[in-house]
Amino acid sequence: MSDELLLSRRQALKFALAATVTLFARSQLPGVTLLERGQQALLPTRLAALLTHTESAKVIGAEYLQQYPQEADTRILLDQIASHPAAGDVGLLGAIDENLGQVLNRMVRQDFGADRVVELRGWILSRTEARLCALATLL
Amino acid sequence: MFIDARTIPNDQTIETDICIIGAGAAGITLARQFSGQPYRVTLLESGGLKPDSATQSLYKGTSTGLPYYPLDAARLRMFGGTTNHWGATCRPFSKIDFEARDWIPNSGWPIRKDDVQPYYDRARAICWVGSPDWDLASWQRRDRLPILPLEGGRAESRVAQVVPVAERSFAKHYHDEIDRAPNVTTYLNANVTEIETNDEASAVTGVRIACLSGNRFALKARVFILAAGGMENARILLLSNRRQSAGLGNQNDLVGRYFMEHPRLEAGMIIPSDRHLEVGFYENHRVANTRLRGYLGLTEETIRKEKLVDVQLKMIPVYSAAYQESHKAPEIESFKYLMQKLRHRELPDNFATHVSNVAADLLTAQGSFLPMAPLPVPKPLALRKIIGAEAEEKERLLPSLFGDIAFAVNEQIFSNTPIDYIRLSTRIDPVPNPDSRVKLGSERDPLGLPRIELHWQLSPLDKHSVRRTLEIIGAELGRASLGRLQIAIDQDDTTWTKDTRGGWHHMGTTRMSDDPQRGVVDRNCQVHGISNLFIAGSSVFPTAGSGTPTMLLVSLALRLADHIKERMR
Repeated sequence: MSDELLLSRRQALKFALAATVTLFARSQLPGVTLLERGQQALLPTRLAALLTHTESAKVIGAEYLQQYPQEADTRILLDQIASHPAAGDVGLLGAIDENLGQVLNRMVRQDFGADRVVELRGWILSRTEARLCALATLL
Repeated sequence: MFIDARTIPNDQTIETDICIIGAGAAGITLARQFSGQPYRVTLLESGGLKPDSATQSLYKGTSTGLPYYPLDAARLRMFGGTTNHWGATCRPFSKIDFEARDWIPNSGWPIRKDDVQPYYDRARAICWVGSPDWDLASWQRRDRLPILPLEGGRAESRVAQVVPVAERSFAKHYHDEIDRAPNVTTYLNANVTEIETNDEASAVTGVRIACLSGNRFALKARVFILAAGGMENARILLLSNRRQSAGLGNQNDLVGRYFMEHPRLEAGMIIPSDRHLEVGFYENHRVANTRLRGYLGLTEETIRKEKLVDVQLKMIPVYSAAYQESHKAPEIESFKYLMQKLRHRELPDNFATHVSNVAADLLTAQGSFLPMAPLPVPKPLALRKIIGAEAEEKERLLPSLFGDIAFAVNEQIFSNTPIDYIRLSTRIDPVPNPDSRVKLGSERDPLGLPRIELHWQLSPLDKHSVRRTLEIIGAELGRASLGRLQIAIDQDDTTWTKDTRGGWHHMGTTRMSDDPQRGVVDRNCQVHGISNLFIAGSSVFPTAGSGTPTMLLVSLALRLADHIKERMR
């Protein structure tokens, strides 16, 4: 195993917490209608706010951006997250009746089911949760 | 009857009908099958009834390639062989293990699972494996511990049975039966140094035997069965080079090649989403009288689709440090001891010390209990703190408020042991690799024979399969919201981590194939080109399989016994 992969367990736990707690711990976040343009601008912040362990998420996000530098732009990341098939017919912005956390949870699960995963420092993460972390890094 | 070969005069020749070389799981099984038959059977065992360091040292050898255990520690050279200290986790091979898979070079057996299935059922009983049931769903109906709900169809749980320690030794179970068998004679401390053949090397005429005490003698028989273990079978053939210079049965340079192990390495870990994830099924546990252990792996469909070798994952939960610490405390030990004695209605030793340990724990926590109550009744405030606390906070509060015993009891009663993380250890069914081999080295043993030189090697597909298996299982865990998995090995398929080790299984060095160009023995375990020489044991396995070797090698020994009985008619 290379030294880079040799994370201390403490670091590993931090990564994992970022990965596993992020989307699920706050899945009761109330749904918001995001139809107005002004509110659209708030989406990255609202998505990043779902991350309970922001600092750990930023480490993962930085790793993601290093591997996928072409996505190092909040608009690109947001487009990628919002255009996920599990976001529904009206897309993430139109998630009127569902809360954001639940939609993202569904997206993450679908990612895993469809093998849309990335490996960041050995962690197998869904593409969506990795992008969410990347978003937090850029904000 | 047992005879100490050291008492046999020099140069004597013993005559028998069937000679079995090696009294391990395969050799003992064969001898038992021939017991009572109208022919003489001789079982030759290098060791005695107890371990002996001088005899054991005959296994010494050198090792290159991947790191391997000291060779003299990897097998036991005594009656009962390695069954005297084996791990005894048993699981049958699957149908796919016998198949030629186009993505795995040199895979495929000349026989199918159906050919060995009837023997498997008998082998199970011989190995003292508790139940004939290998169906996971059937076990789950009786098991209080559930499997992980991985429903994507790509990953699966598997079940193995573990033979209790007291039942593992073939020597213990079958010594008396072999001793009483009227037609079976066992020579202890008898080391076979060479197999002799006729001039054409088409039939074995006898074996030469040497004792560490110095005497040497010979044995002649009609049929010879080599059952000396996955490395020693190859060594004895290679040593027998009087008529065939490369060694007996080695005209196609196959003897000793394709050495296989079930490689183990710590390949990753899981952080569960819920620290109280139930993973007890994947640890040793009992269902009625049967000991079970679960594993994770990929489904056959996924293995075929992804073109992988089988990789089975052992889950090793690492419980919270607080829990582990509390269990080391003397008051817990005393509490457990007193409870155990109480259950068995026995008087405890050092009663006063143990009671004082338990009392000290309760006194430490007395501030949280109502004073003067006849039993330890928690104060409402302390209780409220605990009830309202998050899991991690509860873990900290419980021992400080109520003492270590209350903490341990809480964990036990509510199965509430929090997991920090779960280590994942592999067990790979490796690609048969001709460069992974056993050969004769330059060092010599006290009998003057070349020692083994092992070069253990794995293939890029093995490493790729480990990584891909972990990726898929990681994704399935994520899909089921059970946690996240970290792979702890790099992406270079040609390198292996320093902790890569074997599973103490030696296979493949005299592999089975109907084609003499591809195998040392045929489907009946007869050495190609030699009419009366057979091989028993895991050295005939062409692939290492997803199951465990002992039950299969015993099955093949039963099958071979039937074949030879037929021949002896």
